[in-house]
Amino acid sequence: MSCHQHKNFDFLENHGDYIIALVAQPNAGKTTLFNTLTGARGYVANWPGKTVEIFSGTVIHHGKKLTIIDLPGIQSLHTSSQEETLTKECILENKFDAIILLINAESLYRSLYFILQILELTNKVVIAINKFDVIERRGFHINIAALEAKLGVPIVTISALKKIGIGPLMDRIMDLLEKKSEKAEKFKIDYGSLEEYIEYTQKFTNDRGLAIRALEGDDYILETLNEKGRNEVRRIRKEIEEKYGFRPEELIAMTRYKIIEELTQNAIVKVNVAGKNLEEKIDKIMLNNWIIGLIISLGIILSTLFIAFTINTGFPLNIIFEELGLTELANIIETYNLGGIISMIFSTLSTLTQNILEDANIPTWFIDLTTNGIIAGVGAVLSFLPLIFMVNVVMALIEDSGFMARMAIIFNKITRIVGLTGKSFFPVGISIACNVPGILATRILEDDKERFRVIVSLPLIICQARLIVMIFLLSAFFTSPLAQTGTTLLLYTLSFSLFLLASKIVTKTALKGQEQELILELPPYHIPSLRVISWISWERSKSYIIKAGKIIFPASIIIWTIMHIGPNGYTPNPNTAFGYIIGNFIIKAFNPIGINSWEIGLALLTGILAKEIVIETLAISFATENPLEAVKALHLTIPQALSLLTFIMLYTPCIATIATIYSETKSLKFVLLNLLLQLSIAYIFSYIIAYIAMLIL
Amino acid sequence: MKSLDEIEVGRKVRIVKILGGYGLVRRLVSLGLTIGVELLIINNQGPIIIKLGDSNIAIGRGIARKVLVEEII
Repeated sequence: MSCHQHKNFDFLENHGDYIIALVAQPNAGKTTLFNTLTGARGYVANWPGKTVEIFSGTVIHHGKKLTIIDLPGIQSLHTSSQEETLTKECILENKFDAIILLINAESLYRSLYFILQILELTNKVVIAINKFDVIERRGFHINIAALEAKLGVPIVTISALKKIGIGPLMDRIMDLLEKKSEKAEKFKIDYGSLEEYIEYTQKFTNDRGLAIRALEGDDYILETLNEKGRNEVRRIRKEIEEKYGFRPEELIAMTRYKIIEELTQNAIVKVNVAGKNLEEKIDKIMLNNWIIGLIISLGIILSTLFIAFTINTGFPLNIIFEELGLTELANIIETYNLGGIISMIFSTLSTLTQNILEDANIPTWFIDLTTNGIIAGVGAVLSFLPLIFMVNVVMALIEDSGFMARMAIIFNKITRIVGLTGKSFFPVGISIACNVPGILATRILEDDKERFRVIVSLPLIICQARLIVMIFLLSAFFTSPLAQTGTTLLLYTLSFSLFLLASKIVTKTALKGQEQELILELPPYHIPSLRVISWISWERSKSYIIKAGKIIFPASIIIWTIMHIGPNGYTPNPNTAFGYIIGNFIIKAFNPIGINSWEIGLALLTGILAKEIVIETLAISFATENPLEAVKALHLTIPQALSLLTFIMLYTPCIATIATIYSETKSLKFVLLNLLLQLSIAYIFSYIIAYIAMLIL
Repeated sequence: MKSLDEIEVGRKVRIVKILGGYGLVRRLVSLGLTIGVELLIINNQGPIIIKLGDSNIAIGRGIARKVLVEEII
């Protein structure tokens, strides 16, 4: 079911002469090293039988082809999440030709524990200490030769980012592979009075390292033992606890930390860095007063999102310029933003295709399908790409600079109320721009249950596509800027509160389980590197195109069909297409509050493809070029308008989001749970809003 | 013996006992928190922030209550 000898790496095409695993703790710079080694030409493979995606890439070194497998980051060998378990199993089964154990020099003390755990299991290891330059700048010096002598495996200091030490690293790996430096003995710690128990357990596991893990109570190892072995180990564990007053895993950990203490004392020197540490100063501001920390965090998130929004769609800077009387500047921003440029390209492409196809005497329906269905649909996906990319850049900046961990602590106070840890703010922040990368960002949550809770409720957060619809409808419904702004704020507040409420509901019902408590390491602050940022953001954006593209292409054909095919075949007029029938059916749900137009019903359906299409569908249904006219032709009262707006903001997420929920959970149950949750919340609240508005107005 | 959440900022403590189940002990050990380890408390508002070796770690208050420590003078 997991890692096996080369033949089971068949899902990696042409894996070359050797397979090398890249193992690291989170924040060690694994992605950077992987990209530096393979030239960022890695590709994704789905691990057989698991939802975990792993990267692999190849390096040619001295004429040999090495496949590097990027295993998921792992905190230690005591872990529970699915990704981490995969890495752990791969190490335990010891099936790689060699392991590059990447260590972050910034947290060497804690990393040494991880190193010891792995060295007890295998000696086919080269240790690479990353960010060596950073800690030297801070005044730390590490005596590599002394560490190497104690640990018995080659150690190389590198900077994956600056590409320092990569050559020597590869040389040491080749030495290991060609058996020039292999030692027969594995790293051995003297566990004192536990030794006799280890020796006894070794009879069942046939390996000292595995025996130690079994004594630590590792379920994975215990599973591999036979009935007798398992019972014996359990008995010994109890015996040790009774005899010494500590659990064996605690005794083992204590011994390891004693060794680490000795190692660090002998091999690490700290030279005093002058002045007070900047990190302490920033942390004092961020963490000593919760309100100030919250204001700074919100400030950072909102201002960076503001920049990302503006570059992508011009909004909201165009509105600000317009208010200031700088209409020309506002127009420029509105036209020459990334989203605008992409739609221009696609509308040109669409016209061009139409001309070519018309000249070639191709049936009208086919031309219509190609230009208005397929090209427009693909354009809709791609016009969101710059936004998703920008948001990924922004979030990668916050993540890489070290601010994210502090923000998680600050937001913990709010999210704790509904049983989520502060880390869940991160996907929420991303979802303000787009739910798809938001759902992908839940991968940072350790506990799978917490992760699924967040995923299921996350699409209640209003994304930028919905914001565009909101702004548009508000400008059609209200003339007063005060009413427009007020409604916007009201809807956002509603959206965040409902996200929290929905997570609470699923925590109490469908996804019951222990509420997680926050525990995380605060990485040192540092200036984010452009190279790392661009890799992270491109990787995350790429997965959006692939996932969304697979769904949106067929979906745009389906929607075109609904709008243009009727009982009598092809029709350019939606009035005689199936869309009319479907729209009329959907809108029945809103008949009690007096909304009857089939156009709205149809727009709600097509809005599932992508939310901005709501506006477009209304325009097409009324056969007008100006969507504003279409909205006015609906003749809605204010309570009806507010009710409809609430529904559009909260109902079923778009198809790209639905697809992402499925691909991240691999469970139809969670998709249905989300759809059910959002449809009922949207429906209930659209009625509540309608009745409140009717009472007030 | 006090629990970790009762310690003032700036004090140094040594972990004496962890009152949690198996899962909690594992999570703490993976971050370097185990019996006998010495820590410095650097923040005690919301989650407790401690300094262990060269890394800072934030620990939720619920977990901190389960970590028993003794103060080192």
